[in-house]
Amino acid sequence: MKKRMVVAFLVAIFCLFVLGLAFAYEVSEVMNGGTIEGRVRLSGSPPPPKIIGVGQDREVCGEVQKSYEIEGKKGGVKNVLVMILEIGKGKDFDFPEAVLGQKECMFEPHIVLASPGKLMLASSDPIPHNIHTKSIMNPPINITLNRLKRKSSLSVTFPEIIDVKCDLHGWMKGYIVVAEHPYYAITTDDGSFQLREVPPGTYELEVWHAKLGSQTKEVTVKAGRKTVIEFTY
Amino acid sequence: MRKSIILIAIVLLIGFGKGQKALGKNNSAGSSSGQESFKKNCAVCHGEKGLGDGLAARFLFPKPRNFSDVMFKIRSTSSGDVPTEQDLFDTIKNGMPGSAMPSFSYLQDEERWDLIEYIKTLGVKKIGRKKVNIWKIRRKPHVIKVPPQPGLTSELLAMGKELYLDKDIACKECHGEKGRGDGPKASSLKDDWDYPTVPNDFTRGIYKGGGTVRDLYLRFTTGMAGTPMPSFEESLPSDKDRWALTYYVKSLAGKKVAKQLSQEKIVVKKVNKEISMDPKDDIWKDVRVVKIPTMLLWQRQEAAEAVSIKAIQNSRKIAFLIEWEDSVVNSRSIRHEDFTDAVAVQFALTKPRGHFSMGSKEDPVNIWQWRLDRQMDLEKFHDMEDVYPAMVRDDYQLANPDYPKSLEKEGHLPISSAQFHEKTYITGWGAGNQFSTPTRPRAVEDLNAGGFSTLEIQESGDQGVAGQGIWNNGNWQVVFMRSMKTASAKDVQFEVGKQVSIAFALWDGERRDRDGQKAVSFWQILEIEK
Repeated sequence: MKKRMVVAFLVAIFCLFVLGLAFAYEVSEVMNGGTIEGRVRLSGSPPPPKIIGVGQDREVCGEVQKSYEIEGKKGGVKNVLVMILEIGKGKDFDFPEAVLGQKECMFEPHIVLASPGKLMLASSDPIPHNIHTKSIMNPPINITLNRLKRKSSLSVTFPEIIDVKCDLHGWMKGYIVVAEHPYYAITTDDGSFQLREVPPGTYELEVWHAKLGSQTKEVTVKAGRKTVIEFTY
Repeated sequence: MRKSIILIAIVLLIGFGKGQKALGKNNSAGSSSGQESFKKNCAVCHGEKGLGDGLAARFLFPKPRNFSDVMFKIRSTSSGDVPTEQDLFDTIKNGMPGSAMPSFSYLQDEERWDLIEYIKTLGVKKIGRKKVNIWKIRRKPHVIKVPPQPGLTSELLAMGKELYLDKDIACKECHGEKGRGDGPKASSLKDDWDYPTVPNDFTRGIYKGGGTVRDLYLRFTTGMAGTPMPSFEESLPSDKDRWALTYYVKSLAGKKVAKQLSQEKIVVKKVNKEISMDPKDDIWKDVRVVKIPTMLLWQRQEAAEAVSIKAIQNSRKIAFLIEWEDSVVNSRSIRHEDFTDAVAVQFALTKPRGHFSMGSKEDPVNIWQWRLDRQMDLEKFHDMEDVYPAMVRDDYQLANPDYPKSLEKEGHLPISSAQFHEKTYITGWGAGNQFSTPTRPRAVEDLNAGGFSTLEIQESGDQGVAGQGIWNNGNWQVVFMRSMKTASAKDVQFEVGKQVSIAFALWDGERRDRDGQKAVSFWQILEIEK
């Protein structure tokens, strides 16, 4: 019994050590936080999707797959990652449970936001897929999801953007964003995003898109106020 | 209580997340002698800092791993986990058949552990401004417990075949219905570094992580990090299923299991007769043959897997008979797309430290290369006219009164007439470059090298190696012969009772082998019998 406790104690120390390496973000109550609201726009119209003829697995994947490198409605860019760079203190993580799904031979969502911890992996397709991640800090995995195993999980500890692919279906690409703190957002169809309960102050705000690259802007958040910001690619 | 203290002490000694093998020698001395050994044995391919960018890396496919990525194909641990130290030890000891990773079986166990210690210090990535050793942040690996192996039954094999073809296990998608590595996805696969990669052809019996049923069970269960081969630890959870599948995959190759390069001893037999250049001479009859495995530096499906060597000497001359399998004769290298069959013997001029390819500045080598096209040229110089016998008519429009383009007419200069031209206008030849000479006086060239891209042909006066090859029953047999001693310091000298390091290379013209694209052996030991 004692042995087990010692082991538990050591495991706890190890976890603390790893967490310490992972991030130096401190959770504290945010009084009078402000909101950053914004949009990511595209100058010009998005390029047409690449049309990929599906060879096998047409009954699930369809005759063709449309691969959008840049996607968005009403002049906005969808799937842009928005984050505050370097923020020491603030609210606790409030992301919805992170699930990277495989549906109709696509990763769903295309870019998934995860707080450090466990990320769920799930396939709803009746054919096998693999989940092959490419990461540096977090363990890179390559596992299969099939009828014998529809769900799995991936432990993500360190802030990082992780590429995901399925080797069986070359067009299937996705991203996992492991957040350092809760002030991360992914833009919606029309390119809009919102970061709430941001402690007042001046921050560097970065946007990142897999194809378009990244941009940063300075933003000042005032207590209880809404700050509007716009990025254009 | 005492138990707990001991436990804490042990955990502290091993260090957190450091794999599972307690060696009791995780000291800095181990790491620094590991560094020495790494420089000597590993750096030529994996690079001085282990970044997979050594001098030889560009000649190799698959590419050597970058140790800062901490991604290893051969593991006994779950997908995403680091390998155990024992996994790395076995990889170094056995090598990886089907790649250019040789077996370092000649190292002492101690040296291998030192190497592992050092390799673990190379797993460093720069994250922002911090340098992080990836080994230290990964969890303690989950080691797959291999359950007892069931006996092979025909029922198990049938079950394995069914699983192999199962749409949900998807083996055939990449490895093909018959396991030949030719499934519908095979041609489009890429590894994590975006290099094309090929699924294994299971009928060849070449397995990177060893050929026992247990080895295959582990590869299938753990996946192979960095490649499209996923782990089936969760997606085929039944032990029986996994053994069945493994047995079936293993059965595709029969009993064949490729071994990676190793070091053998070739004894040069003393004879008291004249040595002839004839590979069929009776003199070779009672000479012990040594079969040495070769490995391709650029992987493909077919290759000679071994080369057989016999060696004799009569105190004046030394001769080697080299034999290997080659189903097609390729005699010409005249057109751009043609390549010739060839074989080379490489001798170390020093006691070589480390790798076996083309020597180094400190450890130069002497190379004898026999090429079939050169041998053919001895009888008659072969050139364009031999490849395109109708060429005079093919390009008749270029004919003019000075160059009538008819072999019968006087004044015709075929391309092979280069040797009658003025040297000034054929610059390489004029400058004395032996590679450029338009005449081919010998089938074997005596060469020297001191590292990659330093190959030099010896002056024609120093060329003293004779050679002759014949092809019979799908085999090449080539004899090399030279005096035991020569006056040149660039030549290897053979002394009775002494040892010389020797290595071999094969080029298969049919597979377009040339230069660095070849099959090679490791350093072997040549001992000259008294």
